[in-house]
Amino acid sequence: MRRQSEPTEAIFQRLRDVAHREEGYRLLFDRFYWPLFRFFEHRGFSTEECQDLIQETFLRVYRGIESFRGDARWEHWLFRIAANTASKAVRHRTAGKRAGREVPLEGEEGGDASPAAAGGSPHGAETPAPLRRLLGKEMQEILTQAIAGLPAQMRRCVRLRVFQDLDYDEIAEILQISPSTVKVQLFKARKRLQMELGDSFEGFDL
Amino acid sequence: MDEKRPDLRAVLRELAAEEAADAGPHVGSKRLIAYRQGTLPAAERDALQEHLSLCKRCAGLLLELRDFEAASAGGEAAGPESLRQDAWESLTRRLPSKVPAIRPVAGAGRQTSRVPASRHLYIAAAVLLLAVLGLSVWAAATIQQERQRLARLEQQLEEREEALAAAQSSLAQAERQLAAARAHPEPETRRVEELEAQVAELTAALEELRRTGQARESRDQTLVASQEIEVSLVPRFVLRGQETPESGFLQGGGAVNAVRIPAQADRFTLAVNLDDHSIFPEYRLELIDHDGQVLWTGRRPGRSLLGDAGTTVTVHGVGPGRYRLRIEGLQPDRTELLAEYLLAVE
Repeated sequence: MRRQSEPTEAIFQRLRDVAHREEGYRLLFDRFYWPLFRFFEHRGFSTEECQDLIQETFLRVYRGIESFRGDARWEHWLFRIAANTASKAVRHRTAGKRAGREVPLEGEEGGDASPAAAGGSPHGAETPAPLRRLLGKEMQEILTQAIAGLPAQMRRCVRLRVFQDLDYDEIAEILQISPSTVKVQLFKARKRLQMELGDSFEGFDL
Repeated sequence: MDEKRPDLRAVLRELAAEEAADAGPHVGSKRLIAYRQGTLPAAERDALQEHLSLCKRCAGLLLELRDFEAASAGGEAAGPESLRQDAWESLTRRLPSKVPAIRPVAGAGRQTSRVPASRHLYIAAAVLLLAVLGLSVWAAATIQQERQRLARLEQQLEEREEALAAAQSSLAQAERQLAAARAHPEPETRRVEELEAQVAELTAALEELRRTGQARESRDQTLVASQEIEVSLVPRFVLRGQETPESGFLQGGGAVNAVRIPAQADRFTLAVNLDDHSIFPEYRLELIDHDGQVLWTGRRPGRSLLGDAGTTVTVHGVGPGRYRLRIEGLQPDRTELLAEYLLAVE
């Protein structure tokens, strides 16, 4: 077992010292390998891709260690490098898809390029009634105004809860408030929206 | 339930997609880190929170940062050791070779041992050794400089790419607005012209960004992106004990908060709650009259303002008029203005 509990600062001191650089580099790798693996994995990369991206991140660390000014926390510096590495990988992946021409396989789900499959109405399937669509648009406008009229923090809690489907703890983390404050804000928001929207909001929970 | 009635959740999903399109450019990890550390100024923090509430990607990145910090602090192994070992071995193969600072010395040593013990040859060997040493030092320094230059260029390239993405996002937003304005049944010619001008301007900026690959321009490009950020001040302090239009919240940004004093009393009480604000060691609260004179000042330690109860401030002997309540966060080396509220005492 390597010395994973060694303070990050001590590891980076070794990295800056040419005589101990290799040792420091290995300690750093061991320390941040799994956090980085989870970070890339959470972004939907496969195990092989995670391995590549971790190596890419550490290569950048190796090249940039001398230019690190020390005005940020080491793990934050590493996180920035990892986030940029992931973004770059996604861009390359997207560019690759754009350059290549995708030919759908016959019979494959979603492969049908007919207008019906692209959002239209296949024969026999239920067609969204124009009236319902119109009502939906109208309700959207009413909701936009109602949410925009909420106080800033309440509005943000509602958006994070409804639009991003986050739980109380995550909302609290993002807005840097306590989970109990989030609960209170959502409770108040629900009451206000119910009052403004009436029946349209019935049965809907925040 | 009415069949014609649209599904509220579906409506909200569509609304979310529309609002997300207006969230503005994405936030870089550097700013998110500053936000998490509580080093952003109040107005910038507020604008960022607004963006986070609309942008799933940036909110997700912030949560990832939290997870990364927690995982880094823990340092526990979270999977098979073989994976890590494989990655390490692949990495060491990809690392650049060591700086050849020692080898020439050893080579020179072998060479001198083979030459006859002639004085001239010794001198020649010494000169050669010095030359090789000098060359090695020069090569090592150059490699070091090049490596640093490469790291800087990579960083600048990333910043440029971020700015490019931001400009593209702004252009797309302006184009959407323009399309919406054109589609309007009664087109507002002036607005359309403005938007067309904006689109042309952003297109030109985008072209400029695409054309210029040089790293030194990245600073200007970042500036283009930052111009999209809305700056505003909103309240984060709770006002209790009286009714206000905002359900107990003080209104900021120049709004006037009505404070009604009962006829038989000459005082009013404010309850200040910092539960949703980053922690300062100490806070200063000041009541300032119309002429800018400080009527009352008080300090509260940071911890005492947390929790549901918060702290109460009772103000005596204040007549009707307009006042400002200023709240500042105090650090040993700096003072930050957190909020200022206009109170109309009636």
